[in-house]
Amino acid sequence: MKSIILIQKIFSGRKLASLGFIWLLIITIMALAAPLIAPFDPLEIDPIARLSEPGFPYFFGTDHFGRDSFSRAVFGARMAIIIGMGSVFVALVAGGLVGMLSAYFTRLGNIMMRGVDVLMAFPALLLALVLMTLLERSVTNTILVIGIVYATTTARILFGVTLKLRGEMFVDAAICSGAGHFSILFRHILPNLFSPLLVQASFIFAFAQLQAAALDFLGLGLPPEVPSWGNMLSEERIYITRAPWLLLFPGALIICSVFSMNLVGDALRDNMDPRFKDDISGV
Amino acid sequence: MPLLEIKDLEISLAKNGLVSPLVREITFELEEKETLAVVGESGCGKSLTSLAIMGLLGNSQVSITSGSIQFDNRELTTIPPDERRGLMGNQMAMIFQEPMTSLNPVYKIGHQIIENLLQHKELSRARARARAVELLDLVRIPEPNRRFENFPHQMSGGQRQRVMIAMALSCEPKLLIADEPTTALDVTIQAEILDLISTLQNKLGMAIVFITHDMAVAAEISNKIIVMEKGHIVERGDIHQVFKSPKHSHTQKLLESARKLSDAKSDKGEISRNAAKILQVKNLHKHFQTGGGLLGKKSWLKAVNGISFEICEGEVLGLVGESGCGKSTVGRTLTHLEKATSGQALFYNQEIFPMSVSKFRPLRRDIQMIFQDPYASLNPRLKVEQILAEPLFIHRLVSSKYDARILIQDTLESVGLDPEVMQRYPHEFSGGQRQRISIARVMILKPRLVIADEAVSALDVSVQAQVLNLIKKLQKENNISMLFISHDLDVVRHLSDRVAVMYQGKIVEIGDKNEIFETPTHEYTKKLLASIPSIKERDAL
Amino acid sequence: MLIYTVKRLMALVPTLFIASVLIFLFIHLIPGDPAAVLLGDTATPEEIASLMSEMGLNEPLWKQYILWFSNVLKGDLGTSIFFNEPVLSVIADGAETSILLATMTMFWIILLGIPIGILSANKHGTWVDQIASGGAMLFASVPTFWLGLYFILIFSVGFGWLPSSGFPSLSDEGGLSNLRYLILPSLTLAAPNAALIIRLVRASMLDVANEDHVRTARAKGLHPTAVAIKHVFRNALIAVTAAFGFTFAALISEAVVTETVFSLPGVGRLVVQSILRRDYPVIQGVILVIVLLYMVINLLVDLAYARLDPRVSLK
Repeated sequence: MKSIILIQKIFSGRKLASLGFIWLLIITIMALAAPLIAPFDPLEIDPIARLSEPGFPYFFGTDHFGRDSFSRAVFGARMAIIIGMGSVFVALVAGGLVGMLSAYFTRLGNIMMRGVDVLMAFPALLLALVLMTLLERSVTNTILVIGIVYATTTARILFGVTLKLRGEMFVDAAICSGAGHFSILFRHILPNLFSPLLVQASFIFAFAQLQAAALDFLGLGLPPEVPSWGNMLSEERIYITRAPWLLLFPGALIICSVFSMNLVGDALRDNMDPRFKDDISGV
Repeated sequence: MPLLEIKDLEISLAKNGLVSPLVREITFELEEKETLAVVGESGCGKSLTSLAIMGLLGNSQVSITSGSIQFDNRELTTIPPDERRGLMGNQMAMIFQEPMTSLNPVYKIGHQIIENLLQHKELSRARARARAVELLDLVRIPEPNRRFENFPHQMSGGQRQRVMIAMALSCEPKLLIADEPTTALDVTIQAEILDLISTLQNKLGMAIVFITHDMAVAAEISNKIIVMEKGHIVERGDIHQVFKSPKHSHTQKLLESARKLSDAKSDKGEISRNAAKILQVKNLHKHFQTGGGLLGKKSWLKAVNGISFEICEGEVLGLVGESGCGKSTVGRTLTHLEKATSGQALFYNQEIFPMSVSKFRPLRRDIQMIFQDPYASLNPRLKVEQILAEPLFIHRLVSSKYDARILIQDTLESVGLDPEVMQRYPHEFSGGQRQRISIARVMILKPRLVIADEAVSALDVSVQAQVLNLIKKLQKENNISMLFISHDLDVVRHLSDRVAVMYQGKIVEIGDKNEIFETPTHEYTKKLLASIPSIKERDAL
Repeated sequence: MLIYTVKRLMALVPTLFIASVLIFLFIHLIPGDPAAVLLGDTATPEEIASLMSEMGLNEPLWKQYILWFSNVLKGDLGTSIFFNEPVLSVIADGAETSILLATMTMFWIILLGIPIGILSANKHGTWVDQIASGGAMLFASVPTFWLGLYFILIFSVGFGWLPSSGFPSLSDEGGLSNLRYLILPSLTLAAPNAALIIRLVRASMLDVANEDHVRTARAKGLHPTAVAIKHVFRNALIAVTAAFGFTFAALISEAVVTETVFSLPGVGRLVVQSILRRDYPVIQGVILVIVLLYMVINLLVDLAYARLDPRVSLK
């Protein structure tokens, strides 16, 4: 009940962000109910109908193998959500812990943040590429790699926010009441981190889609059999002149999803405590 | 013809199609060389009115919806924008409350003064620079030629305010609007700035609209007064008249709160000198490293530079001093929020500085702290009940939520709050109420020694008196010893038995309250006392 | 300022050191024997053995690191398996393309990003602002390669205005007009980054506009444009400059993809191909160069930041 009121508060007056939120709900449903919505098996081949135009029964047309693009797109939503949520999880847990603990325990923190600095010396995609050369192509590894890349910025951001929180008067008051480290971290600091973490989560989700698509495109992301929007773009790109619609739909889906998540992230950020806004000005 | 004539001014907020008036029926006049004080509590509309006069209501949602502002025979609400801008900084000028943020940090201060000059006068850059240096000298900034090249962050708050004044007066305006220009400054600096403004007014012959929440400051500087409440003018007139016989209840309330503090005499019985000493501080030092380290030699800020004092059971020691003197740091070392660099502190007979975290923890029941900012000292994510229960559970004073609730109820009642408050969150309460919750958090442990660090400084004047009285009552009833830290002499006078005056990390004078206030011996104490603006002086005239 | 520069340089050293160690370890993290890995699949056991002793691969790791590091300082980054040439010269071949691409892209980013950002902030709330911000966010949500592919479809194949692939060097015939090969790629790269800059400029300017010193500037009777540029933008520039380091990193990353889409013979495409070909010395060398470059850029950005904000250096 409270969450519905909260959602209303965040999105009131922001038409575009509300539409974005609805879109995200749509792709979530697509992902969850994929087998029910997709008319065809995404791996099923119909050689006669190769590269056919959008129409009936192939709403988005077929690819060069004769697979139904629409079904692949529906299943692709699954991958989008899995990659998105997986990366967010890795980034928030790893980055969040490092950032929060580094700010709270300063001596340990100095060393840990140095490590973060080193990782941040590698531009994002490059780091992902390098890591992927050491690992084999799989869904788990892609999630891991993207998660690590964004764990660095998350660590930075949470470091800044936790540092500010640590200096807050109510933390001093808790210390004066006799609260110990554990108590302060979990009762006083962590609850105040939810808001920045949520904003960060939405931006990471958005950027993860783009990174995954780029990795797929370069042949270093998800294994080729997996139906994902990025893979669809990667495989069909040579057919762009013959069948331009094949790239249109997956691309549009990616754009809509990333755009929606960015809008939602913005809305959440505007709703956040203004003191921390500076720390979150970019992923 | 009055220089400034405001008739039925109304300023409203337009949001989502609704228009709500913020300030209404504002009517007053100001002649040349007169000073008008506009007094009221926060939110009464005094700043809005002054911004409207100046033409700074840039926000599209807030605007003048009716009324007239006549300045020097011109109707300001209808003249074209560039004519309006021709007046701003030229014929009328404004100075603001926060000197720390009112100057652009990326430009030198000299440049910023010149910017104003070149905007309105035909001058060569060289002439403008010379004039700027003259102005810096006029506002009593030493070495004006060198200071011209400084950036704002290289100057103190008081100096920045002088620069603001220099900038405002650069084109010799007929009207100066001063919006709480001394509120953010220490009391001695405030006295200097007020003196400066008076002198310059006499010299340049300008009219001043002086906005303040402080009745005493108004008394020092103006001859006419307007009192505002909730967007209306509730009283106006000659300042002597209004102070002698205020007609409106709000004025009376403001005067009472202000007087109560300055009138306080010691109404406490003598503390028996045989009472046990609850706290003895000997030669306390706290040094912060400010620079150096790897490359150069280290530089230190000696925040607390050798402090010694004692507090007996049931006694209130006021620790008074201006910002940066180290008084807060003293309190923080005593509660282990900062680690003392050297020195001793004995709580009864135990040395508390060398104690480890776990050894000190049980003592935290007896030594408690009230913090300054009611908005920052309560965790926004916890309900009041959780905030008050936390210390109880930490010190194992209760074993169940039910027991805790009973104690919480009693404590809330003792601080004048309805127990049902405990189900709500801090943001639902006003500053005064939040401070009561903070006090409840302290009292629930039944401490023996309470350190109050600027406990009422962030509150409105009328609320300050209430909270102070609460603290006084609780202190007496429970025989609590107190270290009451404040920069506000009136507040300290109201509450303490003995007073220690602190300056640049050292205690320069310590003694019985009445002695300190009536017969101070140290130079700094005398200067401090002389700087306090007082209503009484005016009454005597 | 000088002291500040020295301090920042010194702060870089430990980070560089650790990064170099990680890069060094890269070869050793790959599954398999490093020498076999370096020589590729076609190596004979004798070749592997001789390379191992030549490279000192039997020595303790830290000795290898020192050997590797001293080679690096001499400019010897190893030999490419694929090209059988020194890594440094392979990288140098691609440098011209990549540097030109990056420069053109930065040009578009600044040309588009800053004015639209300022405009958007000034017309805050109006339809101009909504379209600009919305459009910016939209472009920031587009995968670069997708944009590149459709640019090619529309402008090369469709209208035939601009070439779609390759880049003959400026020293070849055609000279400066060869730059037209870089137009589509640089626009593709610039689009999402310009979008982010627009949003950043807009957000910074709106923040600064609410600050007290802007009110003071207006109280001096300055013209709104003067206030917007000299006071609001000048202060917003501080935050924007700080973001340029990040933009540059994004550029390097995405150039990899863009160069692949447009078949440009630059360092980015080199990285991808080397990864697919398992040409580890090249991968290692490129990473080293890019990390170094990135750190230098960040240092320059830091210095620019200090120049713009007197509070930073004059402590």
